[in-house]
Amino acid sequence: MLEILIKNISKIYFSEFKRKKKIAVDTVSLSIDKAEVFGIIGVNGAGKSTIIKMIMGFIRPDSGQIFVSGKSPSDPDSRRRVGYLPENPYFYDNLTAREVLMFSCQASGLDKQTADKRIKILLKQVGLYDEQHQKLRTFSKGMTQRAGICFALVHDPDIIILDEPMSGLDPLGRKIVIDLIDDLKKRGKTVLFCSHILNDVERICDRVGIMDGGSLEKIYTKDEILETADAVNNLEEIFLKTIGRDE
Amino acid sequence: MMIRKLLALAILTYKEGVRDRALFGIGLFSLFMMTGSILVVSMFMRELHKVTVDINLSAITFAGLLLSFFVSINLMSKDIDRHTIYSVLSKPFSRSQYVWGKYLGIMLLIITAMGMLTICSSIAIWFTKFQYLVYFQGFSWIEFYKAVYAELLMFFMLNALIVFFSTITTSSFITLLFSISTYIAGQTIEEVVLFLKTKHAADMALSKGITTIIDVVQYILPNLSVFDLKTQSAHAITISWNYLAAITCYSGAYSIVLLIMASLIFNRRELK
Amino acid sequence: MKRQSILIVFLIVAMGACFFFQKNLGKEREIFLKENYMGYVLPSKITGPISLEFSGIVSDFLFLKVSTFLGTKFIQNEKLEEKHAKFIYDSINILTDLDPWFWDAYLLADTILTWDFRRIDLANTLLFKAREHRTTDFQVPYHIGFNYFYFLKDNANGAKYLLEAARLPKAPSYLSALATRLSMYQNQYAPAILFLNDILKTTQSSELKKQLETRLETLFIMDSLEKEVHEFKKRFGSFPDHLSDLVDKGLVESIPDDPYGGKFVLLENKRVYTTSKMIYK
Repeated sequence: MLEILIKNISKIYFSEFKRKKKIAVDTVSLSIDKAEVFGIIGVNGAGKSTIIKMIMGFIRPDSGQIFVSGKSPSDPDSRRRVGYLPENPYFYDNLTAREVLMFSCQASGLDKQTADKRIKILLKQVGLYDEQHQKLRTFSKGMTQRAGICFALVHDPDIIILDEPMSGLDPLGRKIVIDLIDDLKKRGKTVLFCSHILNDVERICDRVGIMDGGSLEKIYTKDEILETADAVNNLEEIFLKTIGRDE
Repeated sequence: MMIRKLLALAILTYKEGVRDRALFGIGLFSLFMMTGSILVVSMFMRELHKVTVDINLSAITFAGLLLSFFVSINLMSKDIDRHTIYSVLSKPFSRSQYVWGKYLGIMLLIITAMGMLTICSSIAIWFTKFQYLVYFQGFSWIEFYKAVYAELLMFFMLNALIVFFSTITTSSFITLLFSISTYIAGQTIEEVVLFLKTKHAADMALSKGITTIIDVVQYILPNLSVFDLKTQSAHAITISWNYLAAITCYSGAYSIVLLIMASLIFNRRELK
Repeated sequence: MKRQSILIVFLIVAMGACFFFQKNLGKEREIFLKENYMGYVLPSKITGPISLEFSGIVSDFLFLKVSTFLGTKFIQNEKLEEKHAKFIYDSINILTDLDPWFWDAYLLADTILTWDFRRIDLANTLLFKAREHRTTDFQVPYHIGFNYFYFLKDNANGAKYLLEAARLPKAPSYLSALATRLSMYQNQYAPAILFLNDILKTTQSSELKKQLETRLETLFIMDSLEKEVHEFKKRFGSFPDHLSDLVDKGLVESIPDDPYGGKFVLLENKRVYTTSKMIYK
């Protein structure tokens, strides 16, 4: 069963009383299988975040269809097994990490005991266990990012959607995230994320989609990436070639 | 299951609001007014209970207004502005559940605040009564609490309005402007209609167009003056249970209408 | 460091100047307010809507304004002028539009408008307004009745309203007796004394208490002098010509001073009154 299915979606933004037109997403189709790790890469403004927001139901596509576990994003039930990390996570200033994570569990229907266990595990995993009772207002960018990752994973979702998960993290933090995604993969979870950092994408993804100017230019599998000659900068080369910006 | 989700969101909203530093200031201001009432009373003549109840009820109401206009609006618009709403909408919440959950949280906050202030004013009134018993002959605790209850009903409506406006507009300033204007209009509409009706009967013959507009506006705008029982309570004039039931139904129905409209509008809204 | 200490010196100088100018302004402001006396009031059609749902405390505030206005006049021993009567009437009228049950306001207006201005018409207008709203308060028709009897010399209406008061809850027991025998008291100060005593018992403001006590004291003196005048008639067959006759004949040791600064005199109708008319000169 396809976890995420996207059929021909488009999104156009009008500005200045419908005079200027910006095509954010142009007829994109893709499908993601269960237990697959799919990465989307592209320059700023290529439409990666827009697609993710449409999957989450924050924005509606102008045309086309989206199915998450067979349900439309306008059905809140489609997000029951989904964990989401936004691009720049913001949390309620006056709440503590623990309270926010408890909310995430409760909203997904976990009982208190399971929630307590999961919260403890995840906080330890990202190294925020000691700060769990501090107000989120006091967190640094890196800490907020790690809290966001916890928020996305604490309720043990089957589908995990991450929008720039490495942003704001130091190398140690990035390692933690990569290990987490690896672990998720081993446990048979489906992961969709977008990133700038091509090295990481290369390492963990089963498939990589390259976006430019709103269109999904090409999808490569892991093997296809490895087949190209240059071992060090495989993905970078492929990326630049695909979007036509190589020398 | 849905109730648990709504409660979780309500408690989340409540916690965020209750730790807002503005609450501390509002609480301090109200306590100041209430202790003031004990002192101010000495400047008056005989019916000291009237002044004490006036000041305490006004303090409670004013605190509620400050809470609604600043903390509630913040809780709604900051959520969308600062993208904290993603924490909620990325979970299995529908837009409508979001609206109801936030409203519930806001009302929990208001009820808690008003509850605490009512306890404080009860102490202030009790103390004043103790000091000036002979001037407190015309006082009634029941009527006092009835007036507090009526104010609470007004806040149910006002905050439903605030939630509604928040779903329409993006700016917290515009929401504040709309809410304050509607509040003022809601407090004065009854008087204005009465004035126009008597004027009409007296000399000015109002055109049919204007009377129709007035009639329509009268039902659309919330009539907030029906919840103002402060003066009656100050003089311990009995407020009938029928009346209380009537305003409860009015407040409930109107608020539900607003929240449903807010849900419908918010359903269509895109969050960039 | 040097720059900071210079700044602090400047600050102290500025604070001193500020204090000096404020004091100066205070004096000027007093003169300004006296010259530009603003006796206008906002009609209730405006104050009503402006107070939104806070008409109660607005009425309290307006009441304080009026009573402090009167209080300062009293303390500074300033005479009240005719224009003040309208001001007091208008202010109380407006604030009782905001709170029609505000008895203290009606009472203040009644006390001042009758005793100090002899504007019984204005006082009664307000009292009738109170009567419409404070339907179970005996004090309202009591004051109306008293005004008719004492100031307007209208026994019929006086009795009518006192009887109405007697029928209301918590009315003092002597009211019905007083009402029926009002004609008997036509030429006595007794009802006024009873009346003022009553008000005094439940008045809390020390300023007003002083005013009432002074008035009561004066009435007592006049009442006892009148009793002596009647005693004089009893003993010597005819009324005295002057109050000094009472002293001459040994009925009283001396004629007391009028607390208001006037002189007690014996009127043509053989009633005792004072040249001050119980108003401070």
